[in-house]
Amino acid sequence: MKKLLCIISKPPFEGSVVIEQLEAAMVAAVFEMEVSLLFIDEGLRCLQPSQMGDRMGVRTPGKLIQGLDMYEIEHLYAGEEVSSMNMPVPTNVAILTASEQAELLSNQDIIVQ
Amino acid sequence: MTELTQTYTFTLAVYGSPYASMAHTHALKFSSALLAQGHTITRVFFYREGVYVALNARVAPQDEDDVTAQWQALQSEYDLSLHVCIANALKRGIVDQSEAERYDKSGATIAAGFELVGLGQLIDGMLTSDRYIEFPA
Repeated sequence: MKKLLCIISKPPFEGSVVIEQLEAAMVAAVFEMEVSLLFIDEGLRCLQPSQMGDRMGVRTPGKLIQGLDMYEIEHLYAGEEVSSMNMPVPTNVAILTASEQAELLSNQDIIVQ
Repeated sequence: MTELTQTYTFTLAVYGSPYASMAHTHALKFSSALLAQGHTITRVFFYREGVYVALNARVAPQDEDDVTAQWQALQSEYDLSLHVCIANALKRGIVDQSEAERYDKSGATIAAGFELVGLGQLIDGMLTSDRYIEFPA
């Protein structure tokens, strides 16, 4: 089983980039790849609860993220800077230091951004 | 140029817009180098803003490279598969004849040599190629 890491570094409502990344991750999981997600930089905002894309007429990345376990995507990680962003981090998201992120990257077969 | 004893299969993904990034220029040069050295490109997959390269209504400025024509030339010479994500393409106005009829549009807007496919083709490329390289925005 190939391991794929998807790095999400864009905020949730900057166009449809994050939605398209999540869709690719879900399709990869359907193809039985072992998929992990790493949220960094502005991508950490995607973990913010209570996103309401419907108010802007767009899809909500946060809702897709909540449903990732249905695709057996259970390895979710956040860069350690999330701790200083004054926002709650979902309990199923592991916070990684820079060196831990480097180790995560080194253990993948494919990395997509 | 040094001749390689081992060759690889590659899947390339191009995410950047033709005119808002250098993604296509870099991917084209990389592809040409790979093919010249005897490697195989399983498919080139255009995703996100990268799909705009397949819009047949674009006209390149006279003093700039036409990246669509360059992809078409590579496709013709090496029988490359130029795959365009159908979901990303539809919402950006790129349709083939079949999709034009399905959504009651006036006609196809996809450039010759490009093909609309599902996202699964990208994942299949990752799984079956020796190397996966992406060209982001």
